[in-house]
Amino acid sequence: MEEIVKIAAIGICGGILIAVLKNRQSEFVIPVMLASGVVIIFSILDYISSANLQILQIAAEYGVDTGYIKIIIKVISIAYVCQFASELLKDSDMGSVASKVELAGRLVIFSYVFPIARALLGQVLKVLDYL
Amino acid sequence: MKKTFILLLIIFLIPICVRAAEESINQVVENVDFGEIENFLESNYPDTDFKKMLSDVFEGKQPLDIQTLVYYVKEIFLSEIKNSVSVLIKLICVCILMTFLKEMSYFDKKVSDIVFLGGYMLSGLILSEVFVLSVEMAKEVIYNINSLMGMSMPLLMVFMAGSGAAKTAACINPVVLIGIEVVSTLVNSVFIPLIFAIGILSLFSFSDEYFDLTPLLKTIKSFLKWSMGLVFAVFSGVVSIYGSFSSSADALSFRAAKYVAGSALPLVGSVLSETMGTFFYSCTVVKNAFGTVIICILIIISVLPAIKLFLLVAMLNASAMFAGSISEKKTALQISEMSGAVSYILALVCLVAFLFIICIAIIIHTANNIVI
Repeated sequence: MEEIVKIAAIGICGGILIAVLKNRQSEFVIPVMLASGVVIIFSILDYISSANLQILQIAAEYGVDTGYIKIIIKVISIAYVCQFASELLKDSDMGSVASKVELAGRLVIFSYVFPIARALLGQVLKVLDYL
Repeated sequence: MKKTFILLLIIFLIPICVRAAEESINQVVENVDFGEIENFLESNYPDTDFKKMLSDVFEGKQPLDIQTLVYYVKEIFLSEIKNSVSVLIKLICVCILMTFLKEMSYFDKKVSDIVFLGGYMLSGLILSEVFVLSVEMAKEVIYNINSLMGMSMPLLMVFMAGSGAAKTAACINPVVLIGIEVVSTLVNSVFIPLIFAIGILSLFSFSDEYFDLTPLLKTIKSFLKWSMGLVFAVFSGVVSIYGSFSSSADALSFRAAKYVAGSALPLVGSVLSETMGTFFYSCTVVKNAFGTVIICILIIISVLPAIKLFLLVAMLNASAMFAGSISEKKTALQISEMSGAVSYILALVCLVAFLFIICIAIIIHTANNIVI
């Protein structure tokens, strides 16, 4: 509860600051926007990592191979970071850089997803071997 | 005095006659080689004692005690739930992760799409492992059932011919042997490939945005359903029709032979005809006992994989329900399609087992009416 109050307060303060600075010193608007975003994301990192840890713990408890689940967690984290960066860049009117970040994110995600696709194709071929 | 003497004679003779009948059954059993079936059971199902089951049937006991069977089924059920729950946990983990992905859907579609693809592939990978496991199990059990039928059919036919149903045996033997071959060929080259097609297509059923696989899946499923039902109906129908045609001819031959032996030969004629009758009765008893034991073994062979497959279907359905409620619609569709494929494997195993159980039951029943 405390954490969400803190996050809400940071967000509201950031918003008020940006609104005040917009008309007086507009060069500070983007740094404040970035700073408030980064602080909010860093304050929820603990929650994300504990949720991921719990999923891995459940999988390990029941003897499930966690290799591919770890890959998916990595991919989701990359996607979140990538989306966050791209949204911030879009807010700062830097759409071209944002699209490049998205492209880079897609490529990195693809490189992680590729082993899963290969394993799935391997399984399909294994099924076809029974024929 | 005379009446008392006759009564005493009857009382003393009955146990001797019963003993003689038992002896004739034992002689028939001792002279038959069950080695092949015993070796098969020893190597594949070491807990099953063929000779003990056969002697239990002769003594009037049940070879498969219902209470013991229910107890074992319960034990297997509980232990298999523990084994198959890992599938449920894997899929639930993926579903929870997909929930994180679902939250991303308001972001840019280009990035979230590729992550969704990764999630679907991961759930597909888990489902394909389940599918491979169930196909391996089904192939093994169908092979074992076919081997057992191949081993027991010649013996059953010999007992049938020995019990006076030579014509029925001659008629049914090729029909049943061809039937077994046709069924195993159909299972291996039509049904299992179609089930593979359903399984593989259901792995990729998430791709409905680009091409919808559901109509194709539905067509294959309905074709499989109809063809399995048709095979079941045709095979059991043909065996019963052939049996009913020839059993009346056998009964006629038996009566004629008994009459000729009884009336044409002086003095020993009636003794010979009754001895012939006793031998035929003994063979009928042995045939029925043997058939009953084979049915019991077929049940033992097919019950464990059937329970395993049933639990896998149940776990997949539970995961689909879970995925539908917390995660993404496409994951739920993918899992429910795979549960459909595994349920077809279960249906195939049950079909083969029931087909051969009914076939043996018809053969036993057909040749029973000859010696009356």
